[in-house]
Amino acid sequence: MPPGAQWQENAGFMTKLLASLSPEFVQRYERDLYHCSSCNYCVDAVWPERGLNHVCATMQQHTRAPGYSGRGFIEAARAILDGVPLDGDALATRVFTCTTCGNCESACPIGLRPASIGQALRRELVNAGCVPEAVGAARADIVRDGNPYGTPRGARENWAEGLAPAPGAPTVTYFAGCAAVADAAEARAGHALLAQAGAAPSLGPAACCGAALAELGCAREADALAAAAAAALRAPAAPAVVAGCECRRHLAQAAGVESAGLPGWLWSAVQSGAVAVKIKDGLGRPLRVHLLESCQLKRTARGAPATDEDAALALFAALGIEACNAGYPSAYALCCGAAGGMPRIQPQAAARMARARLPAGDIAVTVDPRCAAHLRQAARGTACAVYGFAEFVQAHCTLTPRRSGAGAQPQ
Amino acid sequence: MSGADWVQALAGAVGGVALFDDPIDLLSYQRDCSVVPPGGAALAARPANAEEVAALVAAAARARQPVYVRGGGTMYAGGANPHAGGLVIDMAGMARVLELDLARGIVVVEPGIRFAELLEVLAPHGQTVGIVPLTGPAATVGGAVAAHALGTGSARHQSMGDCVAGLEAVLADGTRLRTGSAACHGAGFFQRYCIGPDLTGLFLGSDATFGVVTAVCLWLYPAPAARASFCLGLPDAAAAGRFLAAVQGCELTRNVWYAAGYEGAAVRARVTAAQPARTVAAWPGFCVAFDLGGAPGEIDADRARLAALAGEEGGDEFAAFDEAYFRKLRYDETYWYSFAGYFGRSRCAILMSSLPCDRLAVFCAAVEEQRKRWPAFVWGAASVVCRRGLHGGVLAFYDERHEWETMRQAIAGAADALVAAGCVPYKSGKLWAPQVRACTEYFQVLEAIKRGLDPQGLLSPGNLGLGA
Repeated sequence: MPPGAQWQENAGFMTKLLASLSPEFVQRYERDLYHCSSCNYCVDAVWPERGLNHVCATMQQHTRAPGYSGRGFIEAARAILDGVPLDGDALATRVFTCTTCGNCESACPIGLRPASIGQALRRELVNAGCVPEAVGAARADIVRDGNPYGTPRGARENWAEGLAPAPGAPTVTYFAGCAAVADAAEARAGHALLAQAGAAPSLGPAACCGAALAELGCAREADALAAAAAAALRAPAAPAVVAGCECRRHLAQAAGVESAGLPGWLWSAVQSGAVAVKIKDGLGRPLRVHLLESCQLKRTARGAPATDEDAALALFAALGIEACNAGYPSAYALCCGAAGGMPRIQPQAAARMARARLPAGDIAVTVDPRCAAHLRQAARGTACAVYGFAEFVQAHCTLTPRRSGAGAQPQ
Repeated sequence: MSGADWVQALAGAVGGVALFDDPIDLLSYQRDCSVVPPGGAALAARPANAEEVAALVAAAARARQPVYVRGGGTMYAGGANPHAGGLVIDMAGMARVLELDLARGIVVVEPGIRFAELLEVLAPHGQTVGIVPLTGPAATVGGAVAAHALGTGSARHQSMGDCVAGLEAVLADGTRLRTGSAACHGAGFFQRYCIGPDLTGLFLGSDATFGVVTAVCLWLYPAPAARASFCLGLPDAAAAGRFLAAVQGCELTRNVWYAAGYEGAAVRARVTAAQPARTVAAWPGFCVAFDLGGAPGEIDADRARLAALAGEEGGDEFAAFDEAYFRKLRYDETYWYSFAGYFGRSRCAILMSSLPCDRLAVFCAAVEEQRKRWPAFVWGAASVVCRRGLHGGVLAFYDERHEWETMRQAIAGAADALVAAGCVPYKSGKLWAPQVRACTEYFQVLEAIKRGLDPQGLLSPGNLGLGA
């Protein structure tokens, strides 16, 4: 029997219960479980100064059952630790219906980590063999194809067909990550952006970095993929630029890969004078965009000095592009539903989350290709145009390198 | 009726109401922020309107199941804990602004609306409400009404109830009662004291034991044009008590949006935490901090008068505390940072009592006694300044996994000590229930009202010690 699980007769049926948590879980999260005051900020707080408006996309768009919230995860883990076994399937249904966006952690007034506890519970449930069918199917797809989107493994690099190799030694290693399969246009735009800015990009590994598996709680497999991708990224000795936010985060956490995102890389190059950017001639001014905050970036940003979104905002400001939510980026902006496996596990809820994020009849830009792909699907038939960051820059801006090897160094 | 039977019967009776009966979901309804033991409801419901509340209460009455009412769950008195099982009504689904009438100066809201959400609605009109609890991002108006909330505005208005113009409640027998001017059909909410005794007051601080509040009318107030914070250092708590009595006596609280008193140990601890290099040994024994709001000229004049009154008690401006803590509390992190501050230390047990200004020194001494009696815990005393008198908060930090039982004993002892020192139970819930029973005549009348309104003891049994 897997660790943590036990079977118990319940009204004539055998029910799988999660009866214990791993020592690693307890060591890492016990303080959170017992310091939680049940204040409910992580469920439904309205907190303008922190850019929060009701916090949890799952609670807003899927169910109001509190077991699906960050606080619910804390209560469940605490109950298990207090000796109350919980039904494994019921718990898995809740814990795997989470976008893992981390809004709940931003809301906690004392810095507790409900989203991380949810993620850790996923790992406990995977180890105990309590996994919803959709999660099992998604895992199998990722293992088979190297991505969760159903793209055959051999077609992963189709986005790069026809790209000419950079002249001379590469100055950056461009890893398209999930963009390679989720949003081929954004993957290609990212490569073009680097080239037009004067960098000489080589292509990173044609493989999954494991971020999508990590989200599903398959830690060991995810870490192995990250290690393999990291080795390939380090081989060319050129700084890595990673298109996907979650890929970038996972590579850093699981394999210690330092990398830049496209917005951070470009803004750094502009600030150093290596690249000049201007709005293309003939476009109407002022341009007005909604920069839809990526939840993954937000989570990574906690305690960090700057994010790719900050870089995008700074670039837009320098170009005179009005980012109409710049002063209050998260207002009414819950997770778009692209993350955490949500499109596979609860596709209808994920679609509702995306529709709730879209501005009416305007331009929406997101720095995460996965969010862009998900939002674009939701925007079909609406007047809202959704862009990934690189695509937006390609469509609206002209890049001019000012010296050789421009912008070669990541932030 | 067995557990499963009544849940099934209730589900059939209330139709489209969102119900939660999975044990994992019910874990989130077992406790609030208090040290009161958690309970275990068999069912939780999230109604969308007053009709659904009435249907739930009626169905629970038929099944003879107790009903508990939950707002944001941010209160620290145990009023939301379903200790006798039954049904929890989660009011978070009723969060609409029902009426905003600037001419009458009122806003009518459903009880589940969060304060921060309401303030966002009012801000474009230059309006605010009288009391905003420190837990404003998650605290609900209904919960604040049910639990006598305090916070921003207490110095101007006293308590949440003093800002309520009327309300609607569903009684145990299903009656939908409107109070204040709205009791007169067609008149609507605009005044509280109209027809005989004030029935609004029956539901204020009652922790839902007399009825389930389904709408609240709050008076509106202009949002302040300018704000300024400053702090005064006084030699000790006795001098601070005399100073605050003088401030209240001349109504100098009219532009005070928040004021709080901090004992010297708390002042030194907070400043040292923020600025470790600072020398604090010679600092004053007590600090009173003010957040003033109003016309710029008015608040400048009030500030000067407050400083002059403090000077008569040997006090002076104490800018260091304002810089290190209070300004951050009020402006940078805004009103809810205080909550984070309390709880950041670890889990925090809070016991609120009411006291006159002349008992401030006695209150601090009672807390000092607890410090000596329970040296393993970190204790703190803070006081929120009201229009008259103070709300004294006893704070005690503890490790909930290992020290909870001990902390419960310590808080029970502190409650007895505070009553002996002349303080009065505040924010009753279940936390103060033993002490409330000692207020014999008052408690007997409360019991009689409870029997009259809720003969089955259906609504929130155990809160205020009633109907347990």
